[in-house]
Amino acid sequence: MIEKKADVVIVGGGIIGCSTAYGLAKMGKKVIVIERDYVASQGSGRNAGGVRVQGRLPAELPIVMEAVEIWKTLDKELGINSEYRQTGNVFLASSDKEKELHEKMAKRLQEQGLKDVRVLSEQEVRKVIPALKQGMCKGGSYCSIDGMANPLNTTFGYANAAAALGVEIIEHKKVDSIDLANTRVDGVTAGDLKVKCDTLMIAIGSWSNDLMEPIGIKMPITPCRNQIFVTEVLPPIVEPFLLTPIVYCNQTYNGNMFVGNVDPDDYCLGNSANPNETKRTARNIIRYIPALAEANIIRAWGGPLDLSADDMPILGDVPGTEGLVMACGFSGHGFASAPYIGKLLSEHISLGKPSYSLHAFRYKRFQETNAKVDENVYAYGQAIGKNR
Amino acid sequence: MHENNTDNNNDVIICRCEEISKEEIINAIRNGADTVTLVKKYTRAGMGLCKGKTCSIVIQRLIAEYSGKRPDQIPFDIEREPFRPVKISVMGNYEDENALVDHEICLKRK
Repeated sequence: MIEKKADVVIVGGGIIGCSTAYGLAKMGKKVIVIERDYVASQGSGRNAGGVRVQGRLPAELPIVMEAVEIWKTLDKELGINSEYRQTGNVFLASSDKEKELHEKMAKRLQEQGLKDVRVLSEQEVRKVIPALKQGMCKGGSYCSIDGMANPLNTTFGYANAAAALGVEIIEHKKVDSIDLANTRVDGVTAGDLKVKCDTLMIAIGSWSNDLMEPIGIKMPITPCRNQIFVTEVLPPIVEPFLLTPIVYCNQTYNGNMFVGNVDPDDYCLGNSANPNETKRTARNIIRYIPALAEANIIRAWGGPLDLSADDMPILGDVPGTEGLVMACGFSGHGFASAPYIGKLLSEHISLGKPSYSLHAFRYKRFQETNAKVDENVYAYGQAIGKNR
Repeated sequence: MHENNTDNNNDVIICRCEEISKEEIINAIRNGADTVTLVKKYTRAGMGLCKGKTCSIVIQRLIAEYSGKRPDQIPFDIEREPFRPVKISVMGNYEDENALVDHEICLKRK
């Protein structure tokens, strides 16, 4: 048995775990990150890399707006090429009713301080995306500060920056259990490794309940398998991140196009792509962008989102278990906000007071109220996982 | 570090699709990429149109040389479908009715 000790143990080497570890190391904490597979092996290395501000829920909006400020200088800070750029993001409206919802959403976002969002007519949308087929939308909502980045480069960047500050990242090690001393966290056991710590953070997305249920806590999250396919390198076709009601696409810095469906309704874990879903995605995207018809698909892959009951992440302490901090239920919103979420969680752990209150994201909200998805704040009445 | 005895030119391109040199791959291996999958994720080698058909074997051998293992002890990357590149128009032109969720059906559900 190998025994170690740290101020903070973080289970999960995704972008949330690594960015929090980086923040804690900057504040002088001794941190050990334990990852079952390798850094960015799950959601942080599988998502399309969208850094979107528009469409966020009211409590999340200030977080992702602040995250955008961090994204702008992240390459310099971490010494990486995250390929982050503000390409804009377009939500298409397929009906007048959807356009009304977009107008409502844009108004709400503007009132909350997001000045860069506006509703476009079909003609204006086709000015932003000339490749969009005529007659496919009634307009859309456009936000100019939205953008995209390379998830692998960013997550590896956080992991390397954390390691350079002394964080120990242990890969290929599965944490078997959370060790408690009465109602306090004592540490974790991972095979022949035992680590004692003052604070334990669990950042393992859809797998959270594998560790939480044995200590009698159940996170209200549902895994929902999503998938993407990627094309060969193409000349610039679609500049902004394009979200239609049934399919999305975004072109990476290298020129490959990511394409995915927005309504998988596939409530399971899984890392591979469903071939039928790939076919459906292919058929859907060329309805909107006919120029993609001749593009070659190189590969398709999948990965589960951890949808929470109200689509908002669960962040912070878990009442009744001292020293335990949760970060899960990101519902597909994690990558964009990770730079600021990592900072907030590290402030929460080391100072006890984050610079933006995590109250709206507390685990207890599910006991206090019947927290559920608020359909009014979405343009599409919640496209992903509406039947969970 | 094991030297590659057969070819000391580190500028040689190993992944032709993404134009990744031997030097870039060796750097990735030195930085901890110990599988063909991780070399791909660190460098893009094997992410191109040929899906790593030519470079995977060389990358496997380079990892083996560096780690002192046999090449067959280094696993290949996961094979992702489609197994050869397929045009989007071909992939989308299918006749399996069970897989069909049309634009119109999809919109009706909302």
